[in-house]
Amino acid sequence: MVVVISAPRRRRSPPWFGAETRRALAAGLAVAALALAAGWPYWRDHAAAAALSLASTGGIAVVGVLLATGARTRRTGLLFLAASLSWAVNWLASWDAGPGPVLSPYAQADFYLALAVGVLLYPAGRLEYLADRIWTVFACAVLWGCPTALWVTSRPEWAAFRGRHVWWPAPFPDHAAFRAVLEVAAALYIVLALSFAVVLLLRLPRMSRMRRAVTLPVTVALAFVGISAALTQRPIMEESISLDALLRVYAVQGAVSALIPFALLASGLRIRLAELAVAGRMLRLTAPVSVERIRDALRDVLHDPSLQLWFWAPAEQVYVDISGRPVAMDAEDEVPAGEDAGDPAVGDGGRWRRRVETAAGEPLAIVELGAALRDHGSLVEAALEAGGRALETARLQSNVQAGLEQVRQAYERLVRAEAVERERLARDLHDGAQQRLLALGAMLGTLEALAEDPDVKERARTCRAELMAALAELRALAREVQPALLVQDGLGPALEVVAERLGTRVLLDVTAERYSREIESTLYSVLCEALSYAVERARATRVTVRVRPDGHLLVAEVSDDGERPGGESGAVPGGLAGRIRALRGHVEIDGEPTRGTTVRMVLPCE
Amino acid sequence: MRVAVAEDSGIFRQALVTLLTTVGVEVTVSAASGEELLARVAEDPPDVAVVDLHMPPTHTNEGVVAARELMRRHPGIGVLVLSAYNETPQAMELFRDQPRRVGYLLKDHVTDVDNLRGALERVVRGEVVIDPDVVSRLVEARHRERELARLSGREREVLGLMAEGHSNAGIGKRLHLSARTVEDHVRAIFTKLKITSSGGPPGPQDSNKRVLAVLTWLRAAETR
Repeated sequence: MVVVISAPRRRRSPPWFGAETRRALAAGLAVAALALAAGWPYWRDHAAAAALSLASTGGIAVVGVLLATGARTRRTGLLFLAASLSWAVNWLASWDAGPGPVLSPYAQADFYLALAVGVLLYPAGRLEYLADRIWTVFACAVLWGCPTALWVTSRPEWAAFRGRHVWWPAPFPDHAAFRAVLEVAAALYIVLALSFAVVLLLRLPRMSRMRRAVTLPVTVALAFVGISAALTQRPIMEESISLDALLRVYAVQGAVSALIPFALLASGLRIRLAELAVAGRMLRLTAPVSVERIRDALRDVLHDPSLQLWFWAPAEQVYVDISGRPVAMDAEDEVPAGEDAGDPAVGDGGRWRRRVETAAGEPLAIVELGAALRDHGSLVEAALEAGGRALETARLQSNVQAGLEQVRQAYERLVRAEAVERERLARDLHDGAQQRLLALGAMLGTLEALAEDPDVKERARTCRAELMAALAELRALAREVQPALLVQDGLGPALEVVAERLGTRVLLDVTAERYSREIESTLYSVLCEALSYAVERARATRVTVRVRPDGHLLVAEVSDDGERPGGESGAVPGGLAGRIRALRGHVEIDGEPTRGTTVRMVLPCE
Repeated sequence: MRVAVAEDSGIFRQALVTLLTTVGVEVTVSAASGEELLARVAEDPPDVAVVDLHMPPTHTNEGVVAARELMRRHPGIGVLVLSAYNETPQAMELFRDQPRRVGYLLKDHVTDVDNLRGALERVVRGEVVIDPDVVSRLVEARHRERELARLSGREREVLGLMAEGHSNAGIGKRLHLSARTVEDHVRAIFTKLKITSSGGPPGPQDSNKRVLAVLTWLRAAETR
């Protein structure tokens, strides 16, 4: 589904009185008219009952048509419409003539059946649970079986119809059998009503919190309607009752059924209120705008802590996560508009991805939600629309982040390549040039020992001294490039050597673990710099260097007791701090400038 | 004197063997790795083994590992470890426990025949040898300057020679002092610097053991 963020359109009629509303009202009036015609002989003398019953029948039809316009509530709506029609047809009994009396019990049964199944289908649009399906089958059997048994075993006058033109086949009229049918049917109706209440209760704990809140009023109303129907039906399950008594019960049942449209109205109000609340909270929670804040606000208002948000980066033509890293997004994973309604292939475990577009129709973001939120599309839409402006702002932030991320990745590659290159260079100097010069020194030593001529001896010695000076220079160079000890033994031993060269007491607490060459090489450079700063500038007399892993982080600390001249705080030059950041780490500096400082470098490590 | 050599760099090994042979040292084994040295030394033990510190496969401390193994298997053989770098962490490992017949020499000084021969002879005698450059770098490092300022010039000389592994007699010979005077200096140094070794009271001890104490004090970089 695609949500388009746009300004609300100007409408001529109030928003609640659209084409759908008008159509629903027309349907309601038509069904009420039908009921009026069907029950005319009774309504003539019972105006109040007529008003109540017709309003309730029409109301159910209105709600049915309104529900039928929603993709996921379409089936419930159609069933409600069918229920209201059945109820209208039920009143044909009042004519006491023609096929009306035989049809009436079927119509009454279908009324309850359609309402019940309609509620079971709400709001998912399908019978989700096994209990629902079993109950539906049971209800069909009872509600179609009992009216059939009635006319098969009775004459019309036994069943309250004494008119002369009643069409009533009565193939096997038998008093005893008819009485038995009445008793069994009355009992079955009560069982049906109670089991329906149980089925409704069973559904509640399995629903998500929001869905339960929406479903609860309808559930309570229908359970009440069902049980009261079964109970009011009980007195007329007798032989030879008067038609008036029968119709009075119908009028009561019709009046009670008015609860259902009211309950659905209450649910609708609740949803609308939830949408308004969500929109209000989104606006509150997203100020001031930041990428994380929007995601957290969406998670909060939609009660979905697993919600994910990716922004479209138009320059790179990819989606990026909130830290700006590109994310591969399969086009097939997105659910296009219109295909997400009641798709049984996507179970509760499946995630739901929703594309958000700008007013201009360009991709803005993708939101991934838990499948449970599929039933609350309007809520999600309300949250996304309320957060629309913030989303657009955040997208800009996210794009800047993505740009920065690219720079950082390039820097990281550079630091990595540099570390590799340093290591190679240092090894070349050590294994190649140094060994060759040392061998040359030993040869000169041999010449010096062998030479008889004191002049040659002296020359050889001078040569050797020169050679040693060259070697010292070569080593200094190699150490600057990359201390051999760092590659060979790691940070600890390499820092020991540094500490030896410093003029201050250094306490080393360095992990013996080995890390990637870029981490070791970067930390080494930065720690050397921090150490020399502590000694040279801060005149520290005691320095502690601590390098310890902490989960997925490597934490390096340099604490000293020195003073920062002029309140300087920087102990790590910008370039080196940049190298730390390139490896996705950061530098913190603690402490008073006059009373010692702790420089902490935190690097993520695998 | 009979010497075995283990050095991975062929060109330097060759030059070293030539140098040793030239000055009349018999080279019994010329190996390219610590393992090869250990294998070949068993048949014909030399007086001293000269071992490169950084050898394959890891180029870290193979020399120290080979040296310690050699000393364990053949307590009579002296070991002189050569390093291209003036660094002490591995040397400290070499002198751990009972330092005797061990030396740590920088490769630069191996090219000086007298130096090399002197070190070999001292190791054969059972002394501990530490390259003077390693010691002087430690002494020169500023981190002890306040404490070192308490020593007289002569005491500083004695401290350096102590750290190089010289015995009192050796120190006396070099500085033209009587053994008694050297002993006084040593005691004064230990008291002034509050040097202790292996939990014992401050004071001069066996010259080999005190090397460790002095070196540890000089290095100052404590490792937990």
